Amino acid sequence: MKKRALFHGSPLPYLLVLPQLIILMVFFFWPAGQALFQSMTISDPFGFRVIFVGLDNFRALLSSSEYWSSVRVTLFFTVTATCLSLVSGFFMAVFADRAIRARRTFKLLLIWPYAIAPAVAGILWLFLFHPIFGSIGLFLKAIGVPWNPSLIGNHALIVVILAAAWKQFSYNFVFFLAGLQAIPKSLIEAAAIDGAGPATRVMKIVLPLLSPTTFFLMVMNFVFMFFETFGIIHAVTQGGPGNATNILVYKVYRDGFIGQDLGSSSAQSVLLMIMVMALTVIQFRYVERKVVYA
Amino acid sequence: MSMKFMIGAFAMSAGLCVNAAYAAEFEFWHPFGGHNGEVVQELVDRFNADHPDITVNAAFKGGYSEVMNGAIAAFRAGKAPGLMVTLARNAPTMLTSGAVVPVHKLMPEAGYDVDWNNFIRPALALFSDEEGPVSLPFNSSTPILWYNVDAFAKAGIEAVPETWDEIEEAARMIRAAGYECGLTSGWPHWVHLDSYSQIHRIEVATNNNGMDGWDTEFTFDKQPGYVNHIKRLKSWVDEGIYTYTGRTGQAAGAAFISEKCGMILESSASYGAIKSGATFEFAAAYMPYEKGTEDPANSVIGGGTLFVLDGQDDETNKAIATFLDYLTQVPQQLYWHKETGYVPSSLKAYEAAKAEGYYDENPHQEVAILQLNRGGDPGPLNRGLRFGYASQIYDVMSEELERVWAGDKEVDAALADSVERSNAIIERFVRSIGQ
Repeated sequence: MKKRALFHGSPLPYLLVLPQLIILMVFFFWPAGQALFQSMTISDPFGFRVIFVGLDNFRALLSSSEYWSSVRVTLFFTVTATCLSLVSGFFMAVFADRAIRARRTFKLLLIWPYAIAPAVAGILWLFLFHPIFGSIGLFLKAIGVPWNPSLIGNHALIVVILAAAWKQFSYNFVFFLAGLQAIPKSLIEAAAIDGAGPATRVMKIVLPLLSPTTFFLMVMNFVFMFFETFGIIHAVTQGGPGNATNILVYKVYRDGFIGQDLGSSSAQSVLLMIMVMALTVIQFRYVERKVVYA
Repeated sequence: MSMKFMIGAFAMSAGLCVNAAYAAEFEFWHPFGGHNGEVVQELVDRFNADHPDITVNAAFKGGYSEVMNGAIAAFRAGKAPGLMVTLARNAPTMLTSGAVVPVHKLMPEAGYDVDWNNFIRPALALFSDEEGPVSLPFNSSTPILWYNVDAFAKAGIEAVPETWDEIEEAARMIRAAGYECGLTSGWPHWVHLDSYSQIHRIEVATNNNGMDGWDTEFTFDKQPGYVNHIKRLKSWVDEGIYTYTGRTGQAAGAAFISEKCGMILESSASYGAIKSGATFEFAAAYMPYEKGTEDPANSVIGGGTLFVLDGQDDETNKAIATFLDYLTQVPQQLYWHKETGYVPSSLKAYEAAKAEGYYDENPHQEVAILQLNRGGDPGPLNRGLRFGYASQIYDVMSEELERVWAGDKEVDAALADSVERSNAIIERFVRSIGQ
């Protein structure tokens, strides 16, 4: 049964949502509409000549191997970094929840990375892994790994994935910890009395009860990895070497703002928007079925 | 008290009147931070002090692309800055924009008779159309060879290498002397494609490297000279005597300063950074050329150039012309040259520096100018290179070459792909300018 609240003929509710609608119009619908229009044109940056080209920009993108390699890199980057930060966030939350001494300090320390700007996070990891003066980079070279993220694509990808996962890890940690603390102790204790070990308790009781949190975090992480990692890429690799870390959102920037090819750049943002919408729909339709809202 | 006040008020209102009648004010957007930013500000402050009727507002906007994007956005909103600095390789976007007041028109209209023959030729050629110079060269530089004199002594290198063969030998000896890398270069395409092809008069693209028309096609994958050069570099990378340090000059400079690399091919404008960072003796020489080249030609310029944006009133344009005229005069050029390491755009300034013995103490500062003016009047293939959407094209070329250095792709295949992808980008540019 659905609950209904009806407001008869009063303009008040419309007035109340108006500010939100205006913000949406100005900051979302209007620019999105502009992007949609621009994606079907080729224009000079100063805006003197705007040539309507229909779907040519999309055709050019979809037939370019470079664009597809960017799509692959983005998906790999997003999935890997999301998994890494979700799993590490979850386990750290479990441990922090069980910690007896200095619990507050641990929590505080683990939340810290979230306060760091993505670009700074990127630079930190770049320094750690730098092949000439980074401590981890030098260590890797010392044990015989030919480590060079400025030339080898996979190495660069590892650095940006680690940076992105580490940056987002704290966010996941906070939510998981809050979720853990909301699980009634009696449930865990009952399971313990029935003979379930710590691992079983996590797998059979904690994880299912945390599924709404996990689902929410997964969606948030995906969006973060798709869009907000721009700063990390910009600071660490600028999309290189080769095309190895040229994720879609960075390519939009590079082609549009450095290259001044506004048509192609807009077409890319439209495709990116469609992709993220599709991914979110898939997540809600298929993954959410497995979620238990207690 | 009241008398003083009255005089003050009178002076103020008189000042206001003067301002209202003649004052011209314009924005000057530039990408110079740090020391170079202070030098620009000093030039602007001196100008403002000398010209009470003109106010130049210099603004540091970040990197070249921030200046460009900011100016484009401002232009579309009808609030364009009067004057901006554009990266040399992005000049085609400005030249075809229709948003620029060409200096060949601006200067005579404001009553300034500029002697264009007095400018460094490769710089001026790059920014001219059929009618004359569109933009005023400002911060020009060119790649040269910087070498560590101590490393040369340690490795037993007696003569400064002049040809690529000699460079190879020297790099090998430097490695043998215990250095981590023999040679590296900043801005690899500027050095290995642009300058290499200009010095040897190689056609990189049709229409004389894009200088005679925007509708160009790249041909460098079919030029044995260039292809062999890349293959040789690849063999050097494999042997460990050449180290790839990325697409910009930052890491290359750092590798040189930290004594990891004994030689770098880098901008002449890196002089300031090298001088302040290096704890060893260093020197500069010409870019190498191939053995048997009879008269190596000039190298290509890099850096930035000044564009006047359309949309100001006549009075302001006149003020901009006055400022440009001031910048091209010898004292300002000398100050700029000495403080920043960029080459002076005017030959008169170069001669003045020479006359006062500046190059006896700073020989490396002269190398770039001599190299840029080498070989007399440039022929069709060494007047410069001009490509629309150059940023994307250089990205593509960098990507393909990075794959070669990493061993993921053969040289021939990478160059062929590089040409194919770059041609597609040029095609888009040509469409965008409605040709």
